[in-house]
Amino acid sequence: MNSQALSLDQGPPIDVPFRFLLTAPAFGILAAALVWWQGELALVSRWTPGTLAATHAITLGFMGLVMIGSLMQMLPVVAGSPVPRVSLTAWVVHPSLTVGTLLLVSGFALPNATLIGAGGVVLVLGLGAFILAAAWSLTRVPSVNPTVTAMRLSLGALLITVVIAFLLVRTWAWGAPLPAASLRNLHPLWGLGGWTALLVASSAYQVVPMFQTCPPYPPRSIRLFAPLVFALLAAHSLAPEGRLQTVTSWLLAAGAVYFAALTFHTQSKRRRRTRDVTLDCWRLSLTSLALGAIGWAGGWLPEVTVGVLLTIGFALSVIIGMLHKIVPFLSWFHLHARAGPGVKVPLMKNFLAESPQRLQFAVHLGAVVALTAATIWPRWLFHPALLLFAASMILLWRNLLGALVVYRRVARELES
Amino acid sequence: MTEARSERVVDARFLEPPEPMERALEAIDELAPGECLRVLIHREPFPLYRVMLQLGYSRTTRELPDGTFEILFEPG
Repeated sequence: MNSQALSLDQGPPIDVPFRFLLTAPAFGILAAALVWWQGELALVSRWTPGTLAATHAITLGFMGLVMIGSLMQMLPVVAGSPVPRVSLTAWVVHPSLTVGTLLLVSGFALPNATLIGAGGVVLVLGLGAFILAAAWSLTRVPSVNPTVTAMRLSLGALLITVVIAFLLVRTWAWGAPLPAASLRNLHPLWGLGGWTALLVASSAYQVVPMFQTCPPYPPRSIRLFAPLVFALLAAHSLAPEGRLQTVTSWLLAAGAVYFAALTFHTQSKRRRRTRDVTLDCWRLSLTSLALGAIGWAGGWLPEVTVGVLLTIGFALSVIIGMLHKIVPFLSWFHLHARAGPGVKVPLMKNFLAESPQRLQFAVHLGAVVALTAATIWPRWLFHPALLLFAASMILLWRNLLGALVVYRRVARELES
Repeated sequence: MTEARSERVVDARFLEPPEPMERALEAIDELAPGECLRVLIHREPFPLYRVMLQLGYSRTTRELPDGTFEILFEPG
């Protein structure tokens, strides 16, 4: 049972998470534009210029910005250990991530080897700085619990993903030989199955009981989950192709299904039975995770289909659910801290109402279904799916910026 | 030995954050001098403890058989 009290006062100033969280949706819109420009082939092969560019706009631009911004907020709150020089770290990491991603994405799209190389270097430096800062913070936590363990392993997986990425960039940009062909598949495996999945798990252990008012995850059920997933990823990476890799793939898929089932089970015990859009986001996310993982392990789904399920379905759904909670919550919290006792601050729901969240989720759900289907039947679904996805990103951005506008207005009123 | 004091009760059980905090703060605004605040909640509200400490209240926390908490904040 995690008894670490959520200590929000140790968190960074609001501009640290906000600059990450509020720039992310732009990369989602960019990804849609890139796939549209490439044409139907983008949804059939992961190697087209447009697909490579869009994939990295999503994984680095959207997912990376949100996950890193959230970690910078959550490390002090959940692990009791703030990121050192957090504002300076944000000043280094955010521009590196955004500029580096734009360079890399342009490099893939054109294609242009120099841009790929430049983007790769900027990203490795920026992500490296983040990994160092987060690692420093994670080695100094006052007490270890499943959340901290999963965060540490997630960060380790990010490091591995970045190292493999650098080897791939060396090949793309400078023609250096690739040490192993398998690295092309290990890069997304560690990025999605390690960095993303373990960070989502660590967040789930905290936010699912907190926001869904259900009991905590049973400690025995989660204690070994992250270490086992990490070990399986390592085993899969080192195993030669063949029966052993089939076994590790299926075990990883089983892990994904286990986490989904455990979370559904925990959420089923929630006390408040009202409909909640965040709960719907989790359900879509976990269902996509299970389907994508099984489709990958069994070889039953094409690569791009698996990619869409695991990024747009799994990662983006849970990120959207969390962004719709985190941004209004942080706005409320920081204003409340500035106001002091006795001064009225708007209720959290006044920063972002439920109905814009519901609308955005409905469009996002349509986008997930349409995009997944479009990878199998691109002819009819290609343009509608992309329009839905772009619309869902625009609506998300509008919702978050709306909360920011309320925050700024109230902050000005408090100052006067 | 304490004499019976008037108290205000806030039932924040199974509300999503930050609604428990919002309701507690609303109640604090309306507390009469010498009045106590009794909060029923499903998780220990550490941020609220800090606020009440700053306002000069002492607290007694009781865990109930159903796993929820009852916290009595008394002035002075």
